[in-house]
Amino acid sequence: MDQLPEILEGCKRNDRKSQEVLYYQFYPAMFNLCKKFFADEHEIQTALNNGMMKAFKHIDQYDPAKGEIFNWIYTIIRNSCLTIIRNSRTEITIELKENIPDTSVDDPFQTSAWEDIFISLDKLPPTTRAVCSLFYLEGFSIKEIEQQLAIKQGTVKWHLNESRTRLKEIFTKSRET
Amino acid sequence: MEDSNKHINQKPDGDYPKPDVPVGDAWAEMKDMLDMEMPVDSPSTAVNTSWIKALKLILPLITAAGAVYLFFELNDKNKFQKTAEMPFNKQNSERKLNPAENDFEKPIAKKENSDKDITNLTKGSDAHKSSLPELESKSLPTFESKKESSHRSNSNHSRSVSDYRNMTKSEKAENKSRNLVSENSIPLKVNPGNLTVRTRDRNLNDKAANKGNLSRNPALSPNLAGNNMPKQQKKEVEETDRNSVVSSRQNVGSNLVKNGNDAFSVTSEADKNTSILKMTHFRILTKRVYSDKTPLKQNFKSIPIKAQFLKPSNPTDQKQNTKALLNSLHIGLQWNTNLPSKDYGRFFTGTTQSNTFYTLLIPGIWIGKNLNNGSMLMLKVNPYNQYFGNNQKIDSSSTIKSDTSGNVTKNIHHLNLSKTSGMSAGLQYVHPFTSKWSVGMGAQIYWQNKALLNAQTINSRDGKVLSDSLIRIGKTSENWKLLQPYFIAGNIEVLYSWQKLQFGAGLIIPVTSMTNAPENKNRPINGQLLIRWKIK
Repeated sequence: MDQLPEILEGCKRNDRKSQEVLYYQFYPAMFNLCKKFFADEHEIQTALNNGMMKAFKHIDQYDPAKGEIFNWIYTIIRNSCLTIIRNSRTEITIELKENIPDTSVDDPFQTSAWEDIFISLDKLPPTTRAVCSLFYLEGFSIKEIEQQLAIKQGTVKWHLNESRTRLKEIFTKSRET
Repeated sequence: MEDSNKHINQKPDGDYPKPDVPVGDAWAEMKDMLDMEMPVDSPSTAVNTSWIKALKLILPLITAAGAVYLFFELNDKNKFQKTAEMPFNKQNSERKLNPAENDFEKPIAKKENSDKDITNLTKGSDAHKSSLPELESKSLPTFESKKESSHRSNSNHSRSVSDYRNMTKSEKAENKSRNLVSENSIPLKVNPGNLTVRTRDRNLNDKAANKGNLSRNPALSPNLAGNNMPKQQKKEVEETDRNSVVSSRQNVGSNLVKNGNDAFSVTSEADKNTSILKMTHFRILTKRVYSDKTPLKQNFKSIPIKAQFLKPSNPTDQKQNTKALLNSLHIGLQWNTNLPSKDYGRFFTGTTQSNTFYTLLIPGIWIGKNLNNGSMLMLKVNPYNQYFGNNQKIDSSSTIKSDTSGNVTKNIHHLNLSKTSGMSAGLQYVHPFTSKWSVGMGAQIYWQNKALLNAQTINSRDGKVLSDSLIRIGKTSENWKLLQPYFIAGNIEVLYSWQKLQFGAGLIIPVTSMTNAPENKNRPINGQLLIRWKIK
């Protein structure tokens, strides 16, 4: 990571070697991020590469004074995941009017290993998985999820309720701890 | 950018599980994408892309501008044709007012002054001035008809100097006596009022001319006819001719007096004053001489047809032209729907994944212009149009999964194009076969804004469909890159007219691909049903 400025300069020059180094550097974290939203490898790969492509294309817009390059790319790839979810949302959902605290709660997955988390998430339908990941793993509020996924607040709540029901065991464990 | 840190609780060097897809494979795919979208040779891809985007905007504009230009060009041609169909007299009268335009006649006029014999001839030929309009209008078709007839008419009106010199003695004698008669009766200025009498003379002359292969010159008729006529008839004809000459002298006299000339003086001064009229006459004679040797087109070479014909003669004409143009223009609304050749189940499912039957009610607008042969050139614009992709495959990929027991499963993912929506515009030529039935052919351009895709995951082993869902995509979607922003299609339709309505059915055949896949061009054929309502 000491060579990051040179790598970024190389990426700005569209140097393939620099792009490869950066890609290899962030790949595990970004793959993990995409896996929070998708079960399918193809979708993970698509979201990741689409996000990286955007990052490479607009790397000259990155300002080191405003934040780290990792966070910048992380945000781009997460948005890429959300775009795919928005575009491929076909599930029938019900709006829920029940009161759920509009704040981020403790991460029920905090004690779990990544493998266990992904096994749990695989039990959820795509949009519910995305809502669950955003709420519990990424720390988004219900309002923010509503904006990001362009769905109603009641629907977000329904997805959260659905994820709690389906992952009852994990949530119970979380409360106990 | 400052918000980018929000909700990021991971680090680049965190303890992450080993990715399911090896980084090498992922980078290979990434590299392919980079090579495609950001080739190393051209680092300024962004600039190029913007240029292409601008070009994509400009091209349809240029096409539209071209169509408008052609439309008006066609209109101008119609105007030209109308002007060309004007009576020749009207066009001549315009030219007569401007002798400078008749430069090509001057040498003949000079010759006329220098040669006495020619003066005589001129005097003789002046007798036909008054009958020019009729002669012109009647003789126009002979320009391109039989050579014989034109030759005959030439001998009447345009005996040139050489012709006169080549005359035989007997002909000269005849001519002398003819001139005597001419001078006595002053047949130089004969009014159109005498044309009735002359027509009768001409009938007689025709017989004489046919017999002796002589001229049909009405002024010469008494003399020529006299050779073969009985005395009594000859007398009658002479008397008739004399009467006509007297009346013509009175008419011409009054005209010349008005112009300050002596009506009865056949002097060179009087000739000069009437030179414009003579020139006009000679111009026509010249044309006739040429007509023996050259086609009609070449005869008109010296006339600045375009400059004169396209210029509206007066504001009234201009108004009439505008009115005629407006009369030939029609405007109306049209409701049309495309039909898929398969995948009917999603006919009403819009690109928003909801039922969009109401889109059928959104009308388009058309403007048409009648052409000469009863056909029509039509420009049509539809603010909303959906085009069916017939569920053609636009993208596919595969994934290999292995479970804990070591079983490997290969899944194939297909993306099929169900439909796209956007706007369309086109030019069409409609040709009527009967009063009710007509056929239209044209080209249309479709701009695609949204699309509905069908995503399928199939197990490669048993071909079982694992998932089948619809995806709506817009311009901001990742999958949008699979589609072209616009495509061009040709269309053919059969129309039935009933009062102010037209009902039609047709086919739309894309010329360019709807999608971006270079190896797989998607050009699905659609049917079309339409109703057109003519407002004006």
